[in-house]
Amino acid sequence: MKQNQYLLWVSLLSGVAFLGLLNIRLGSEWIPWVSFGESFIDAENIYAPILWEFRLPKAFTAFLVGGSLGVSGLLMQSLFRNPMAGPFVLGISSGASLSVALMLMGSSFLGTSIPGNFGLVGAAFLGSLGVFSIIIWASQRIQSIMSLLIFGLMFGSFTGALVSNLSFFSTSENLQRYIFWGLGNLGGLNSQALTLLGLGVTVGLLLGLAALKGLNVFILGETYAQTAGVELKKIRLLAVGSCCLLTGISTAFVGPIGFVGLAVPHICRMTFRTVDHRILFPACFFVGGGLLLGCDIIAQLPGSNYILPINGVTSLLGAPVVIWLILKQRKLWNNV
Amino acid sequence: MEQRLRIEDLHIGYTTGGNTHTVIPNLSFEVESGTLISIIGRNGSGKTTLLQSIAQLLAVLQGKIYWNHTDLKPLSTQAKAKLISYVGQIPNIPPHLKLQDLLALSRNPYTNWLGNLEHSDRSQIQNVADRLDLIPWLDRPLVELSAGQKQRCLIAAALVQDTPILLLDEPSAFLDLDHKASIFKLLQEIALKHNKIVMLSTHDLNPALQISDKILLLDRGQGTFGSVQELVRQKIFENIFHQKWVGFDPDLMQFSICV
Repeated sequence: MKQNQYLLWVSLLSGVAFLGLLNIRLGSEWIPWVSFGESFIDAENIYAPILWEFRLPKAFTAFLVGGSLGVSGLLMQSLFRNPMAGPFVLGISSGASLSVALMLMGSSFLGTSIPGNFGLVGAAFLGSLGVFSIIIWASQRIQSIMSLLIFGLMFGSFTGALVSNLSFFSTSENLQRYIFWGLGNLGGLNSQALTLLGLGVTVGLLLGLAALKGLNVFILGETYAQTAGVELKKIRLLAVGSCCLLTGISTAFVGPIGFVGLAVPHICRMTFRTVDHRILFPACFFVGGGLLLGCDIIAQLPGSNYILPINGVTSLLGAPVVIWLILKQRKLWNNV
Repeated sequence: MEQRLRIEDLHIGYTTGGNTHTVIPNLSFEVESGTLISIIGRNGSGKTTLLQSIAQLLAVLQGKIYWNHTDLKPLSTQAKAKLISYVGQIPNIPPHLKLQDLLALSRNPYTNWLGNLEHSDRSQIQNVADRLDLIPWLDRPLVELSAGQKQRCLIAAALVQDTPILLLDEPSAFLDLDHKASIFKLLQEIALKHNKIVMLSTHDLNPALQISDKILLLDRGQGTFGSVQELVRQKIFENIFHQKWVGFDPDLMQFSICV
């Protein structure tokens, strides 16, 4: 590894650690540096409950979800060999939204009862799984990548329309719950939910790891990959399984978080100047995690009693970064 | 021991929407290692279909392909990749991908689950790069190279894959005469010195007749296989193209455009 790669990694990891600490410290109540260390070890400290019950779980959620979305964006862009791919563009998040909308707002005429939080998590996960299966099925039949993207966009519009119609007939209380889910919420995960999220992310990352070698060859096209000994079906299954788990479980717990999945892989490719997934994979995880930690700090409006929806911050902050990178390099991913 | 590739009663073509379209029925031939075979024929005669069928990219409709006495079909993708390398059209190459990265990827069938290179992989890459005079290019992004240079790099990648059989689909297309000559020369050398089977499809007929040990002519669903002299004696070249446009001189063994 070259020296500037080391430097990049050191700054990336320390940056993420710094954002993590800052994220835990800042909020409606600032934990002073003096009490900060103490509250970790001393359960009697007045800040200990805030730290352990709110700040730490939220910071972990932000890091895990951001990392997952970054990695799943990378896997999707490599899998579809398309720089536009991401959980949002291909309609994965709309799948989750549709099934959550059905659970929350369709209950009145479907005759089902309104589910608890874990019910919503399950619904969102199944929703993303469903859309992902359809996209993979379609990608075997539709050769053109552009057509596939249009397919994803159409699917997104279709589910969007269904959700609009559902919300028209929904009670205002259920509609509000759906809207709040859609704005994204990193807080409120108890230890049980956090464990489940951590487990899902771990399994998703392991599946993704197993696909890295194949994906590296895959960037040169299916024909090349196949003759170089890559089992296409296996790699596709691993990468899709990983994306589905990572996006599905993240969306399920915190709602559809936009932008991270699309932008993080580009940021990593451009800063690390490589297409090697063995570097990009961990890079996307940490950059994604750091990005969402940072966005969450801003969303907290430290010192105030207001909290912005996380989805209102990610794109606001991330889009200019990507635009700046494009203008600086003048090419995102040419030839693809 | 002489190693050989045997094509036995092969029916090739493709299936679209449940309909099977046979391009060439009943093709049989056999080649030994150290042979350069050129597949020639008009557009749409099945050259690429045949190469892709042998490379196991397309399912054959009927018949078998043997390497020595091993049927290729049931082998794993990895085992096949250790026997056959395939150079198709120049793929879309992402920026940042350097020649050394490409060559490292070509060691795919031999590396561990993460694709990390061992000492043997590195020395194979160095050897090939050295033989093909590519050492100065190793650290350069492939997108910066010309078509001819890219083609040379792809051939290097196939050599790094270290297979006894090398298949190339129109390796001389889009190249100027200089580069065509150097690619043909290189392929001849690979067959001869490294004792490999090199099978290529081409529309550059004159160089093909010049350098090939064997010719496989695909014409109207039929394959004729033999040495250049044998095919000349059979007066088979005269009839491939429209005689009003293209003539063949059996003494010079050259095609020329009728003016």
